Amino acid sequence: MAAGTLSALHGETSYRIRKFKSDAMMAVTVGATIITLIPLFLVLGYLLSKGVASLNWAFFTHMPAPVGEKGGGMANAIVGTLEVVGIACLIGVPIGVGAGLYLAANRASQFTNWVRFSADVLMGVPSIVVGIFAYAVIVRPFGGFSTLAGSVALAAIMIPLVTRTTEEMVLLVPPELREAALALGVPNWRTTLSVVARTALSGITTGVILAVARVSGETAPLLFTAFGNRFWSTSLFHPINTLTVQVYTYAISPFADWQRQAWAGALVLTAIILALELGVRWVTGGAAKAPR
Amino acid sequence: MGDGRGGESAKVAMADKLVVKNLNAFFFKNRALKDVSLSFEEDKIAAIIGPSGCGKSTLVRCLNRMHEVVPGATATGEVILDGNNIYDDEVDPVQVRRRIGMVFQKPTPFPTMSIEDNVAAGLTLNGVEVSRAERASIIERSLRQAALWEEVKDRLRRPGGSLSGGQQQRLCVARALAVQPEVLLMDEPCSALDPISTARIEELLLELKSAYTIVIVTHNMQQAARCSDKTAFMYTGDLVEYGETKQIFTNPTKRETEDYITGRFG
Repeated sequence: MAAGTLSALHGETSYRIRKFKSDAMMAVTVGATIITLIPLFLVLGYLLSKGVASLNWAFFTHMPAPVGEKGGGMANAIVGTLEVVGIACLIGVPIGVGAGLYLAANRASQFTNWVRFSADVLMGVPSIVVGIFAYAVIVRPFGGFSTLAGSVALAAIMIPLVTRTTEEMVLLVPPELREAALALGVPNWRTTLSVVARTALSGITTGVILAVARVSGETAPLLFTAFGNRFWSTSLFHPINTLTVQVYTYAISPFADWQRQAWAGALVLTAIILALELGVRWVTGGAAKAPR
Repeated sequence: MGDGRGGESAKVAMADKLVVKNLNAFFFKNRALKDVSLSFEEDKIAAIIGPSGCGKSTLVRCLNRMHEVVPGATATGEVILDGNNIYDDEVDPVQVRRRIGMVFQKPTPFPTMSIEDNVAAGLTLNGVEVSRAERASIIERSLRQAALWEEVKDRLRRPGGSLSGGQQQRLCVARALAVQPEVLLMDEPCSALDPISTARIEELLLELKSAYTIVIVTHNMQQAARCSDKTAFMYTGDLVEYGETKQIFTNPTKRETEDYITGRFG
């Protein structure tokens, strides 16, 4: 009887139309997914084919060669990128995480809404505008391009990202945990740090690493802050070379050797960012498992 | 049991640990408690019963100033612990909560901490310095008091979340006991537990009452009848009746109490 009803249902036109609609939608979404993935693999594949050929040990250990001379590397740019981004983290992460914790802890206030709205607007500001901001705030008063100016520009991009992800991650922590800690006579600040933020830590870390990956690829805000440098420099107050700016300079140059090196630089930068993203996977994957 | 004192006694008797006077609680403009006055005796268990939304939880949350943690929640009136009003201006709610512990409806072990760290959380998070041996003995004592020691003694370093629901709730009891409060508030501690775990918590209450003043909110009238000395019946924010449990369940004076207990409403 039941089987008879079922097969009768299969025969109905309305059922067949519904089934067709479902299959059609499925095909559309699969198609969209494939189209999304194509550029990713094209970019990665092209980068690998062009970049690997120019990649050698000297690229990592040597300074940029003078015009017309073959060889040379981007040692100063690799170190420079790490330094600029590292200092941007030192500035941006504490401020961003702190502001995120504040937003999550004071949901109801008007000030919170205002700060949250500002963070959302800041996230949409073009990075070159942030560069102009750092130029006005650091480069002009200090009288020159510097590592610090570049880091401040990148930190300004990181802060709203880190603030909002921290807030979202902290809000995922069940309020009962907060109450349980408060009921033990733990002060509010300690509850926020040791229980709430601690519980949200893997999520906050993910947000921070994603923000780092985002700013590592920035070129525009560095053009008139960190500026670039053909020589070795790690000083906070002098111009410094970075991978993105070096790739930009080499890519628009007329020299074939520089253009080859630009490909290699782009590949190394992508590898660094990819490593960070894999780091995110590792951190979140590790946290999903029960801590020992 | 029959010590002859009525629930309505206005005088503060020696054995009254916690006295509530004209307590009103609000959520924004919504009044959740209406002029509630009652007192909780030392080393006794008091149960608070009543239909959902009657203010039971709000009442216990006012007793250790947890009510005001929720945005928009305020309270007026007095709650007097050993002669001192915990709502006085100079009283720090943090200090109150160290003396009046609380166990919530949902088990809430801290997910980032092991079983033993959960028990010791009240000490570590409050910066209390204890020696290793002392810490170990506090953990063992609290877990034994919460009747959990035998089940977890071999896996103290496992995460608190790895325990069953009933075990997690007993872990929360152990955590509350580790800081040695004087009063223990329990807000429907068994509502998420199966009957066996519930029975264990009830046994636990009876063992603990020799050392603690206990106030338990419950939806379960049998539970109130089984383990409390006194029972308060609340309805729409009013304290309808408060008295000896036996009297409340066998011979209530108010019509609403009788209706609720006999299952005519609620």
